[in-house]
Amino acid sequence: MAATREVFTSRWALVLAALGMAVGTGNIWRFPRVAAANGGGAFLIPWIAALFLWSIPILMVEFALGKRSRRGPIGAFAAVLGPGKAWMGGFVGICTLAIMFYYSVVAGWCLRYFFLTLQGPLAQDAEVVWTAFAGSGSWWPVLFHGLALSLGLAIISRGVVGGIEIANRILIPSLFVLLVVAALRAVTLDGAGRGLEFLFHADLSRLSDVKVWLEALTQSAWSTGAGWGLILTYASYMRRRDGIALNSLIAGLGNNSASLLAAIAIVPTVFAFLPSEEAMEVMNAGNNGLAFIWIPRLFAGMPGGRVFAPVFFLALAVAALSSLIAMLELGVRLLMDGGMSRRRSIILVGLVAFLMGIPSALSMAVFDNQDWVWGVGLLISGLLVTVAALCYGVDRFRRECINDAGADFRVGPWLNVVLAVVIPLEFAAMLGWWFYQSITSFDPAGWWQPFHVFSVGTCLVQWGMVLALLFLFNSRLARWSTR
Amino acid sequence: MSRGGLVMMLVILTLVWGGFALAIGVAMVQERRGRRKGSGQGGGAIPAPGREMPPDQGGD
Repeated sequence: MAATREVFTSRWALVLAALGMAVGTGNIWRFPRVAAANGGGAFLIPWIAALFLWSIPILMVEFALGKRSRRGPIGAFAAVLGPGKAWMGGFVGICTLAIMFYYSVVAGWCLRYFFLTLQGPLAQDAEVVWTAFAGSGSWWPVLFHGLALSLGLAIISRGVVGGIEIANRILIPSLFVLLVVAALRAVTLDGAGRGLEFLFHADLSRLSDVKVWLEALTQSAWSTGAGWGLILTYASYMRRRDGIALNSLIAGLGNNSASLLAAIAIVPTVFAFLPSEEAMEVMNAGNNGLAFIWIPRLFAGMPGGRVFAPVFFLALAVAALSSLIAMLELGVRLLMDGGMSRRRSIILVGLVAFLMGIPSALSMAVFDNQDWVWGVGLLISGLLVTVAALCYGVDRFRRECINDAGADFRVGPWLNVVLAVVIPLEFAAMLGWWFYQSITSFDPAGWWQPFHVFSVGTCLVQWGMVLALLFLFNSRLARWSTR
Repeated sequence: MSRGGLVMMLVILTLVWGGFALAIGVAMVQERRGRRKGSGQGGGAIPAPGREMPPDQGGD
């Protein structure tokens, strides 16, 4: 077979794809409420620090692994580190695919709400509509999960240049325009200043609260896509002459820029229409409660809300779709590394993703469980990517793989310290923090139970099963992914 | 909005949005320099030192 493969046609195509991967629903529905609930301006300081002490270094390692190996996560780990490390890439890939199964359900919710708000305001019946729609056994979420998957698959079926590149050229500028429109509307509302004050007020005493640092670190880890294996997959299509450090910086800062835009669109809107206590309650209503119950209510009551509600849900759907495309491509790349054609890989990934997403579409308990298990699992993925650099030799990895021939600028030895010391410590702190919350707050009576939604036990059992299978089939995986 | 909140907003937005704009600007300059140098596209795999990289699969 001819050794032909596609590459992104320009740096900007790669940057837009990286932004599409990074900017997802978490930027729009999670960041504003987590920032508001953790001290506003005081939260933003560790959040920016986390970008440089977790996300961007891991993005750099991912870029380097993908660019060097020209393979998906399993093949990249096996090719760069040796066949014995294929399981590490396997965990990264499976963790992201497990997220993809329920993420396409989320993308379906966003599409559904875009169409619903196009038809008219949801106003006071927003809670009824949401309860009847999601996780109640209704087949509507399954239908929209299928629709979101079909859209994503249709895009990647056209290949890297004709599909992913063109889609992101349209989706990402559109997303930023939609967010700017929503933010401009929000800051021009009467009373918006209270929301901005709440978002940016600098109560620096909150910086002594460990929880604020851990929430900021976790938000950065989840939101930038670092450690997901997605940038690794896209980097396998990057041009040899494109640098790693600057593109990682653009992806990380672009992701945080979109988060701030979303927060400026949402927090002032909530505070403009509700008294402070109620506004705080709304910001603590959880991702779904804020996006699908409160936002439709608030838009229904505001001047121009008839137009701005669909704008908001279109932004949410676009953010979800651009991230879903990256996840689907990861699955397809893994199969193609084993010698399967793109067409067959797409059919297989689409079929498995649809079937595996159905339980999450039908039951919020399954959805929440998968979000908990694989969300925390992503922290392990981030660590494994870092361990890849350590196994290779951290200084050698920086010099040979990150500061390679195409480097826009050289990254200094500070990166060695971050990768070898800071990130492992951050990982231990975050994993410990989330397990501590499970034991003391989420499920104190049954934290060890494997069948409880938010337990430590369910994480250990599901990760353990995946790791056991990966260890068992490591040699085969390594051979298959580096054919 | 209080003065403290306003200052914090300006600092954060300058750091994040300004940093993003600066990074894009640097990339634009680098691209222009790269084009002037006339370097090729180069899309092939770079073998890891000491390891032989298998050839790319076709099909994509």
